[in-house]
Amino acid sequence: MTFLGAPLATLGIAAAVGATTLVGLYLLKMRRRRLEVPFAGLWAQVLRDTESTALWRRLRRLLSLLLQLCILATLVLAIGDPRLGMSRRGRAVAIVVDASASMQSYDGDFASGGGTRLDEAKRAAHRLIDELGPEDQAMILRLDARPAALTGLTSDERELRQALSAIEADDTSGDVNRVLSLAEDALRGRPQPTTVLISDGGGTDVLRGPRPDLRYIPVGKSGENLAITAFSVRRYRANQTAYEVLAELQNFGKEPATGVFQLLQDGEIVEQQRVELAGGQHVQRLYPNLAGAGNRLVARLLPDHFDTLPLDNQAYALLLPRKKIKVLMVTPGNLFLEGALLLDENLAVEKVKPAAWDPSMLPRFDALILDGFMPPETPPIDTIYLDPHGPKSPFPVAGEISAPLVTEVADKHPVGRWLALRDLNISRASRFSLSPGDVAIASALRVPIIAARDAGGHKVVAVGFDLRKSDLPLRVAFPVLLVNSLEWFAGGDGALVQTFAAGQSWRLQAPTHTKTLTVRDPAGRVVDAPVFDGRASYVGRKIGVYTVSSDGNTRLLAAQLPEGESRIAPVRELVVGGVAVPRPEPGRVGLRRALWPLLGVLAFLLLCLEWATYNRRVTV
Amino acid sequence: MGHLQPSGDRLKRLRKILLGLVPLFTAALVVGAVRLMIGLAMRGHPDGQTALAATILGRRFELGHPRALYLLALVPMVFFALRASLVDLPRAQQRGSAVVRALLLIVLALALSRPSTIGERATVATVLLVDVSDSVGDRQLEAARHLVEQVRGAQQGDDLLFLVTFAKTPHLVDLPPKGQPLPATSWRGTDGDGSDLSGALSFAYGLYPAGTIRRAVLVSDGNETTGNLAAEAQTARDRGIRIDHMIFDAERTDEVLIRELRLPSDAKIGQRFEVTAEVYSTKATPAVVTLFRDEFVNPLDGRKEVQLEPGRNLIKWRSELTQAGVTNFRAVISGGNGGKLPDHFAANNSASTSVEIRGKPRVLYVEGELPSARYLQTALQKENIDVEVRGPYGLPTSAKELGRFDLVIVSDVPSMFVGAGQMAAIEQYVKDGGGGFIMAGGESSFGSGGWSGTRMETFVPVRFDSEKKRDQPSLGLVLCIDKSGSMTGEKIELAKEAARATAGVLSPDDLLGVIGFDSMPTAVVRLQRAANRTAIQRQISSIAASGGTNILLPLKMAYDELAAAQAKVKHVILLTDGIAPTDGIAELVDDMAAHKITVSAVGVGGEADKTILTTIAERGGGRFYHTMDPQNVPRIFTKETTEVAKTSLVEEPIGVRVVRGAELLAGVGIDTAPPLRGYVSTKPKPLSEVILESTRGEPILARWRQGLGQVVVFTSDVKNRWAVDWLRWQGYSKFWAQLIRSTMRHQPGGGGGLAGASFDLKVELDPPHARVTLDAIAADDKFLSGLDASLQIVDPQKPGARVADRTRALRQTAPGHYETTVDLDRYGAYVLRGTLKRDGAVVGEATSTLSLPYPREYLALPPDEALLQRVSSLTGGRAKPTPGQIFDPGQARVRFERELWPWLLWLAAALLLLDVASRRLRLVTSS
Repeated sequence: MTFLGAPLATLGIAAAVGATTLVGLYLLKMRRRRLEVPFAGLWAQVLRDTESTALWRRLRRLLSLLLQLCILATLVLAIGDPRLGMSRRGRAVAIVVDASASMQSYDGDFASGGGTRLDEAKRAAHRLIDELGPEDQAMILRLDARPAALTGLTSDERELRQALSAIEADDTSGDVNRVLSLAEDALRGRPQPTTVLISDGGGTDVLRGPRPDLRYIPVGKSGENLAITAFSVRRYRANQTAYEVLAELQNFGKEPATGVFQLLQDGEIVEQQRVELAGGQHVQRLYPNLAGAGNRLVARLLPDHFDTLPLDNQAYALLLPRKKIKVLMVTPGNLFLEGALLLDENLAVEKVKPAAWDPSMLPRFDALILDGFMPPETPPIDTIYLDPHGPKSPFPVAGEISAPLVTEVADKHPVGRWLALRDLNISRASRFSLSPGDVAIASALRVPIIAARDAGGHKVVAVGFDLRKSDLPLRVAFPVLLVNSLEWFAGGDGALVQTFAAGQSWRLQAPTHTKTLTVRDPAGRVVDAPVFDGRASYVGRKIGVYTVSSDGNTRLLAAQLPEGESRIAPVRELVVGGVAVPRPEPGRVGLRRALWPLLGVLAFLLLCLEWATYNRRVTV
Repeated sequence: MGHLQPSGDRLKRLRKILLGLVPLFTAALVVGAVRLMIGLAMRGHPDGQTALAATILGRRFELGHPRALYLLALVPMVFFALRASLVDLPRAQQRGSAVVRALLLIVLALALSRPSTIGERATVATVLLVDVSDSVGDRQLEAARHLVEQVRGAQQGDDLLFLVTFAKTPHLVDLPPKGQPLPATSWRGTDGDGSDLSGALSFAYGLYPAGTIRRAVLVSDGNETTGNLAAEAQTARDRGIRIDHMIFDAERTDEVLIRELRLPSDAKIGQRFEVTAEVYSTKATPAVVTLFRDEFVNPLDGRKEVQLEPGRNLIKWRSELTQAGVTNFRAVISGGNGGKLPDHFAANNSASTSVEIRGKPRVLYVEGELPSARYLQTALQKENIDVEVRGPYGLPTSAKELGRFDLVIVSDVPSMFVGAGQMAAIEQYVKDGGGGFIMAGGESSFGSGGWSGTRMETFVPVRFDSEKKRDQPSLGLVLCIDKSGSMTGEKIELAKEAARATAGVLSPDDLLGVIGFDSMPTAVVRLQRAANRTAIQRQISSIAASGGTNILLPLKMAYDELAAAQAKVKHVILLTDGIAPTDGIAELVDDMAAHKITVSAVGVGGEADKTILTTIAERGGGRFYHTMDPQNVPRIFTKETTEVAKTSLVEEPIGVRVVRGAELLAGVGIDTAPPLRGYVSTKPKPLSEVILESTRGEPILARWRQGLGQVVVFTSDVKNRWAVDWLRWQGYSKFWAQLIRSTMRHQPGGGGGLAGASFDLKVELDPPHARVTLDAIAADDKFLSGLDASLQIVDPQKPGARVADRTRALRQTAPGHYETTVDLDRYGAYVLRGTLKRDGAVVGEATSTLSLPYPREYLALPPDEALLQRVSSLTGGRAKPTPGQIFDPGQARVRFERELWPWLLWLAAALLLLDVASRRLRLVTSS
């Protein structure tokens, strides 16, 4: 027995004072009520009866006193907050509650109240807290993509329960190794360390062992789940006005599942299909050559039957926004070039004849294209030179090659990426001689004919042949080369796909001179993320569309459910390092229940009883 | 009145019953009211554990277990009991006593409902997070210890202090009671080769007791090797934790390290290049830097004695790669002049990187005349091309087998050695596999090799029929076909087909006759101009097998027919499958030879009399063929026909001229090439690209694209017959090497099996993970989706490390975009190879390298104050706080909860005494 409440000395004094007062009060002879009677003979009879029952009356008084003392003792004991317990040394228990996305599955144990797996896990954790001994300490840890301890090791049951109640599931995957390391770090050096993992076992396949102090409580029952496992959208490289959408659907269950798949663009349904998937089947759907003004795409799956995890029935994707680029083109007239540039609605192209060349126009533009024209001064702007020549050529021309065939393409360079130049027919090309730092984008047997330079503050791309004397303008490679160059000028990293998985740390690019990015998550919560080195770190925990804004510029990004969270079949038996993880041993320690409420209720009942007996003169 | 009595009793009883129900009714009412109250208060509390809060007099009160208030339902009983009381006390005193008892019960019920009050206080709990990783020097650690002592000194009142040391993992250090100094034990652990600042921070979350102002002080150099502190700081901010930081003052420890080892990205076999090591040193010192190539000192120049300057030094070596595959380079730095390096960490004194070089092109060279194969073989080997030479039968039968080679050359192989399956395999290999195919000429190739009309003719860029040369002789040909009973079935049908094909091959002016024979000869086709093809072929179809075999008579008949014919070349082809009387045959053939009538003999099946057939061929100046497979008969006939017709061979010294400039001729000096001594005459097809032609205007070198690959024909030969002068020409080997390189399967990664497609493998390093993405885009700007993508992680230092567990699938996440995350559980330099397959066939490959030579902990990076500053500003903390500031709550207040039940129990105990007193003392007297 341990007393957590008032000190024993205080309790002793209180008990002594109370008991003395009570006994004193009972020793006092109560003054009789004065009653005048007309005839003493009747009373003699009454008095005779009274004398014969004097002993009984004394006993009744004693009983009353005892009851009162009992009540007093119960109250004083309750104030001491006594606890029962059998374990001599307390355990240290880390309770790890899985709060990853799959824990939002609606297949909690209905016998114990149903709800989600997380609800079931919380109930299991509450039971563990019930079973803690008086000297046991426990802590609560949350398992998700960024696990954390929610409490320290404490014996404060209330704090533990509060932390437990506050857990909400995220749309992230769980980092099991990390949470167990955290638990181990916290329990290091403590007596009888035990970590209890309450989880559906998702993500435990990466668990490294052995972990001797680990116990496992599985939750969840069903593996049936129809899910969108991948959804993304990507613009074509050359024709950036069109895009392709990929959606992957999977039936994770054993039973066949049916439903309707919808593709929405800015809230409007643009595709709708029925899907029928056999158990375990997955299908990939591609929607090529889509076009449209909206950039918010939502995939929605409407299963015909109850779906255990509704979370993965929708997915979000966004078309990367394209910055409008202002281009000045100096050309005597080149339909090929104009055609390719006009196709791209993201380019604002202005054309001038070489005769009308005026360097003072340049500040209005982001890039310059010189088609065979060499200005007297090197223009202070990012420039694409087509067939440069003469002393002002950015790359000195050292002779010519006739009918060169492109044999090498620098496909790792942003300008050379995705360029298919094999079998390109060129009647003649300049041999560029490169300086250190220059990159040969395309070469014919190691002779550079397309080159790029990033030095002196401006970027330069030079194509060493006349477009009209090659079939380059007829190829897909031509608009790709232009788009690549202009994007490289604009500082884009050429990323074609931006994928953000919930729970990962996202590195968000910020405009120059921006100090913070304001991120608004799908639930409407707003967070300021400071910018560092042109990037801000942010951890989004929910799937959906996020708004990132800075200095009045707003852009969107979409977060996806991490891979594997749709595979919800619970792991009933967890095996780590070849050893099955046992369940926590029930009843190894005594109940740690606070006893004072019981004592309080006892006192309450005793008071009621005493009142009744007193009024019916059973006790006096 | 009497009758009223019973009714009065009933009324009384009824009243009594009703009165008895009143307490129950009241209790129900009370329960209902309490329930309603609790229900209203608990709306929005799914948990049901905490509930019922109210603010009274500016103080917030909460009931933890509001259900206990149901006990209040019993309180009215106290007053109902009073009605039936037998107690002999004045009514007023009794009522007073009941009130006290009711109060007592109410107080108890309240206590059981767990009331608590929420107050504010300013107790600060601080967690000191001290970095004890290897990058933190001993003196810095001593300073940190001093700091901890100072902070402990500033601790006041209820303030709490926790000390956590961390490197890769955090540890809670037990602090001695106030006033006692820290124990002298070292804080360093065994896991100092990493710093996980974010892990330490999330560990700290668990240390803060409820109801305290949360502070953390990071004492670190800010260099994290794992985790993401900046992201974790957001979580810390959400939890209300203010993070101050103290950066370690830079400690001047001497350090020499290799930060990076660089290779040019386009290193090729046999080509020299530079390997550059980026070496940092804190002071000027002599050093020896050695470059290893795959565990051996780099042969060209390995060991370098250098004088390192403070700061960045670039050290360069020349090296070359001699073999294909993955090569590992490692640079190691050690002390110069026999001395020791002024160095702190040894782990960072070496760095490695890997490079993967595609192997030499592999060429399969199938030569009809094996002894002559060595010329081209030697030339190509000199040009770094691996050549496998096989005889005419050696052509693989499946595209898969061919897939091992980048190019196949078939030189001077007659069509009869190549089956339909082999031709189909070549076609599939080129069209679908992107392989290269060169058909080189010779007597037995193209038309003269019997290839006319085969599948091959449609596949190559030239047609095998040729212009009739004026100086070529006209031909008279008689086919003697055995139609005896043993030829029944497939044999006779194939023989007829052979005859029909022969008719197709001949020029219109040539003469053709067909004699079918058993025991007697029949003139199936009278000797006539081959221009009558339809009629001839119809007549051939009428042959039916029956009877015995006699060779002499048909030969005699052929002799008679040819002797009278007007033709410069007269030839007989005899086909039989059996044994016949030999008398007179030799003499007849001699006679024929004297009249310039040549005879070739074809034996089909094991029964054929080889002796007599050989004699016929030898004496007749013709050739003998024997085949077990009747399927070969048609091709033997066409070969034999073109052989005698010699229509397609041009055998005279002939010049070569360039029709179209192509990159494969660059630097060959084709103008200096000597004349060829012959070639096979062909005609270019409309879509083909003729690069070289003869001075007669016929193609010598022509090519075209077939599916994903290229097909080239070289109509002259590659050996010492027609190209004998070329063998001595210095451009020979270069010409063939460049032709092969431009024709062969394009290197995967730049095109793979999909012509012109691009594959891009990117690695984003985020220790201990690396995110690998592979993009696949076709030449026509379409994304390549639905491919099987896999990633192979090759550890060049571990031979045989290309095992299954280092291969993982890449998952398609977007059109043409595949990705995966790799755990980096070891340090080293890896080669990553992404492979894309469709239906089991590789369509693309891309490689990249990944180098993580040693833990980032040993990079000797300058303190990253910016990171710590950012974390502090995010959480409202400050840099270098004084110990006083750490515990200064400022305006911060924290809600805390005080349980009220003990006070209520005390009150209950006091009320109990009052209660007893109110009964034991007669307070009210009444008369």
